[in-house]
Parts: sequence; C-alpha cells; structure tokens
Amino acid sequence: MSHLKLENITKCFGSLVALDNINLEVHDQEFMVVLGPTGAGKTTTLRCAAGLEKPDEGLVHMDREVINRVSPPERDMAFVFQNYALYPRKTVYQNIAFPLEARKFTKAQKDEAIQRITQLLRIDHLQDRLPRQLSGGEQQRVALARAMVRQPRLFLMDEPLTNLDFKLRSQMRGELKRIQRELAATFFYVTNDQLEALSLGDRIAVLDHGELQQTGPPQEVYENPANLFVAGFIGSTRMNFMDCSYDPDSQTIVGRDGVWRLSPKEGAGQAIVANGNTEHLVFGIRPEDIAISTTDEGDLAGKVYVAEPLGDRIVYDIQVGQDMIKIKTSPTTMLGIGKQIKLKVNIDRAHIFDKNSTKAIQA
Amino acid sequence: MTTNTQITRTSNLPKIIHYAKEFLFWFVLIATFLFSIFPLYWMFITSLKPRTDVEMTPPTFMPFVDYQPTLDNYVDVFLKDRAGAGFAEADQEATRKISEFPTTLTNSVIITTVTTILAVLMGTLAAYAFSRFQIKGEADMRFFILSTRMLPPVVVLIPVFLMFNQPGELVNNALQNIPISFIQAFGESIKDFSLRNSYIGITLLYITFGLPFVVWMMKGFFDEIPKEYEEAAMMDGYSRLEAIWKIVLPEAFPAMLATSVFVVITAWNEFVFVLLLNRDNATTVPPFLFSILGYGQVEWGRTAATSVLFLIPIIVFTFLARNHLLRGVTFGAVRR
Repeated sequence: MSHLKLENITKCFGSLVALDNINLEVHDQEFMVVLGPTGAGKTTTLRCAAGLEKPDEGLVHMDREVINRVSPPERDMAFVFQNYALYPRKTVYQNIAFPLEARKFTKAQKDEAIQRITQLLRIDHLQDRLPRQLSGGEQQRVALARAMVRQPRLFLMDEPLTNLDFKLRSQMRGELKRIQRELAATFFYVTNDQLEALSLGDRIAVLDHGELQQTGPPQEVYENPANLFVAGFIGSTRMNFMDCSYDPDSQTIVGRDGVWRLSPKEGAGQAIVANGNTEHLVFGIRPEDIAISTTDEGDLAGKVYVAEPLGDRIVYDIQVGQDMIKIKTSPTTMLGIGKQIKLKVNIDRAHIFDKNSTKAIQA
Repeated sequence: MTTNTQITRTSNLPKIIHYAKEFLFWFVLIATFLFSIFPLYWMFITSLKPRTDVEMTPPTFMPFVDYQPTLDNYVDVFLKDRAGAGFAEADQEATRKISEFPTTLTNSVIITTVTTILAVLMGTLAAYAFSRFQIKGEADMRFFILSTRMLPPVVVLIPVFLMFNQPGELVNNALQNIPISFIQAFGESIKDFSLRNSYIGITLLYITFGLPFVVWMMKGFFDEIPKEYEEAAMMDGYSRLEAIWKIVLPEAFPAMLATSVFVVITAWNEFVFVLLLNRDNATTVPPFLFSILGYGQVEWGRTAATSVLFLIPIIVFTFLARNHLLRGVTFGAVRR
C-alpha cells in the first residue's frame, strides 16, 4: 500500500509563502500530477512529501501514519530530480547500484535488478559510462533507472521530462505511463506542461501561487475548470475570455458594449443570479467549441485578424468587438484577413466566471 | 563585394600590432618568471658555494663554471657551531654536536600536518553547514569569522602570549574559591599547565589562524556543488552524514587539497608566534633559521642550505597536489 496524504501543509521561505494550506492525496497505484506555472510551489510540495523540506504547518501522512519527523532515507521513496543529480564520479552501473547498496544487496541481486531495469529503459549498453558522457535523454533514463531499480512506496518526480527535446519528451511520456502501469507503482509527478499533465495523470492537481486551485481527473479539470486560472492554464490553445454581463430580464449574456447577446445553457442564468454578481462576468469558450457559420446567421460577428497555420489545423484570431478570440478550423478552411464572418458558439460547452472572485459559476 | 575587398586588402599594420602584442606578452611573462625565480636560484647556488666564494665580489652565478659546488654547507646544517677559536681544526670537527635542525624540522612537520588536517576537516564541516543549512545570524557569523583575519597578527601577539603563558594558574585561582576539596585539588594539579612551549598550544593557534580561510574557501566551493547530490543520496537510503561522506566529500576533495596547500604554507612559514611562544620546546624551523643568522658573522652558505632543506617538503607537497589543483571540478551530470 502506498497512500500519501498532505494535510493543511503550509511552507514559507522568509516572507514568501510557498505553500498555503495544501490538502492533497495520492492514492495507491495512482499517477498523480501536480500542474502549475514556474514558482507555483510544485517542487516544494514534492520536497515536503520527500522529507527534504519540513513544512511549517500541517501533517504528511503515509498509509495513515504521520511521517513529518521521519527522515528522507527512512521514508522509502524515490525522487527523480529535474537536473537528474546523477553522481558525477560514478558510472551508470554504480549510480543505479547506489540505492541497492544502501539496502545491502548482494552482488548477484544487484546485477539482476540492474539488468532488469536497464533493459526496461534500454540503457543496458551504457553501464560503464560516466554521466557526463551521456546525452540528456540518456541521463534522464539513468535517473529514472536509479529510482526504479527498487520498489519504493512512492515515486516523486520533479519535471523529469522538462530538459528533453520535444520528440524525446513525447516518447518518454508514453514510456513513463507504461512503466507506471507495469510496476503497479504510485507516482507523484510534477510538471509545468499541461499536455504532460493531461496525458499522464490519473488525477491532476493545479497549483498556483502556493494555493491548490483544483483537483480531479484530467478530463474533468479540462471540461469544468474551477476558476479563470485553471481555465486559462489548461488547453493547448488558451481558452477565449470575453468580459460580459447578464441581463436577467431578457435572460441573455451580453458582451462588452452590447456587441453580442447569447442565451446561456440550461440553469446558468439562475446560477448567475444566485451568485449575486451579474455585472462583472467573464465568458469563456475554448477555440474548438466555436465554429464558422456557413450561413448569414451566427452567435458572434467578427473580423479575421490573423491566421496561424499549424499543419493539422489553422488557428484564426478573430476580432469580436474589442475582444480578440481564437478559433480552430480544419486546415482547408481559408479565410482572408479582414474578412467579416459569423461564428457559432457551442453554448453547452461555454463557461461563465465571476470576474471578482475568478471562480466558475456552475449551472 | 565588400567582404572580398576586406579579405584581399593586405596591410602590414595589423601584423606589426600582432607581433608587438606577442612580444609584449612573452616579455612580461619571462620577466615576471625571472623576477620570481631569481631569489630561489640565488639561494640554491649559494647553498652549494664553498665558504670562500659566498661573499666574493663580484658575485658568481654559475656553479661548475665560476666555482666548484660543494655539499659542505648541507653537512653544516646538521651540526652545531664550532666550539670556538683556539681549537685545532680537526678537534673542532670531532667535538661538534648534532644541531637542532632535525628536531625543529620534525616539529615543523608534526605541527603543520596536524594543523592542516584538523583545520581543513573542521573548516570543511563548518563550511558545509553554512552552505546547506539556514542558520540564524549566518551572515554575522561569517563576517565574524573573517574579521579574525583582518587584524595584523602582531596586534594579537600580546594577548595570545598572556593567554598561553599560564592558563592553568588562572583556572586554579578561580577553582580555589570553591570550597570543595577535590575541585581545589584538581586546580592544584593543573596549576603549572601552560600552552607555551607545547605542541598543543602552537597547533591550536595555527588552527585558529587557518580556520577562517578554510571556512570561506570551502563555503564558496560547497555553494557550487548542487545540493541535489546529497539529497539524491538521502532519497537513495543514506543518512546525511553518509551522503556527505560518499558523495559530497569526493566532489569537494580537490578544493580541500587546494585549501590545505594554503594552510600548509601559512603554518610552515609562521615565525613570530612560534619564536615568542615556543622558544625552548616544540620550536619549528623558522626560528632555528633565525638563530643561525643571529650570532656573529652570518654563515650565508649554511643559511641557504637550511632554507633549501626547509623548502623541500613544501615543494614536494605542492607538486603532489598539483594535479588535483589543476583538475578542478567537473559537473557532468547536472544541467544548470
């Protein structure tokens, strides 16, 4: 069993609050991803779990046992550092053998375990090399091998793929997921790449400025972002945000300067009224949920501002009133710059946020 | 086209500037080299000169050419001064006793070795703590440590002398006020304890001199070693102490060696304190060198020979350490 629970964790560095009352659980055999921008407190969260950092307040539980005072070597976790931290004077073999030697493995046991993990990670031909003789991708695999050569209760991974090039990163993403399933291991994984989080995580936790924004399965976080930050951070092309207000009389959402009006989805109107703020709202819609109208009818009217062809699709910037929104279209859609077009909005997939609290208003 | 004209246009001026720069570079280099090596050369050839050639005017510079080198001076180093005038030459040779040189050289080696090992060891550990842990008032402490190096040594000479003279007596005076018999007896037993003329005293003093330097050097160095190394080792199942021993110290070893070269040289060359504190016992070579200079006519040949012998251990140590000094540090495995 590996069940980690962070309870009301607060950590300050001087006057900087790195973590503010974090509550987080990692279940047995789960791939848990903490996602957030640089400086959000992701690494600090991981280091608190590892025992490398002592939280100022709060409890760290492992399998219902409080481990705040347990030292890192006694926690039986493995940590993959962002900079890999391979021992520079040890060969690949010695690096991977190092955690086994702490556990008094015999030579035969060591050889067998190292053979198995180096084959799994396809680095068995590199065993006699020194870290500085390896490429970035190879170093990263050695760091993973050093963590995975034993069966720790928990794997802690601090942006292990960040230093790799794009191709290698997508390849390693798939491998990590496969290995995690194969070993039936529990992963606590930190990244600033939302794509990595969505593709790897069984659940993801979004962190910003030391505060937990939202926790949930990737699809749920993507579909129902809890606030403006999560909505804007997750998604390969950022969600479009437009200032708006709600008119209870006509039961419509009104764009800035009244340039557009939309009927919200079932129940959203009541939710907005119940929330008490009908004036300062943000209308959020993902680029893929806007389509170009083939007729003269449409929810929004706008002017093509710029086109970004991305091969498999084209992203157009459309000016709607004072707002600039992005839409995704098929690669064969050709729109001249400056062309007036009508857009259809998939209103069931639109989000309304309270601009003051930044929280989503759920229908 | 412009690039073509630039390539084909040849002027002698850049070439001349180039050669002038080259010449200046080598001239300064060679001049500096000669300037620093000449005293050593002079000392070395003087040590090989027969007594009659040492003070010859004009001076001679080339052994074998200007004079026939001799090892007489080196023999003299190990023997005491002649008993005095009036004896026959043969009698003088027979009555001469072994000089203090072997004893003082042994003392120098012992004191310097112990000083270096302890100062580098303690300083390294302190520097590690400064580098890795959040310590209250760390900046003040580091400044205080450095400030001990700011005073000229002569300023602290008197207080050190007083402290070293009879610390046992001071402690005893205090203990006699306590009306408990065994404490008074203990005070009585250490009454004569003095740090003067002792190995411990002078070694403690040299460690005190060396520590600030070691702490500052090693602190800067540990800051360069990513803390992830020992954190990785701790996650791999080792205690912090094991992580330091197995991972950090091997990384820090070249720096420790470089630092110890400076500590060795400082302790080896120290003259004023040992002259004042250890006049009778546990004396090192520098005061001995001074003593043979001191009386009557200066025997330059013998002095030079002593200096050469005194230099050899330092040269050997620096020579052995040089590979580590030059190799520096390699951070292969960490992207920064």
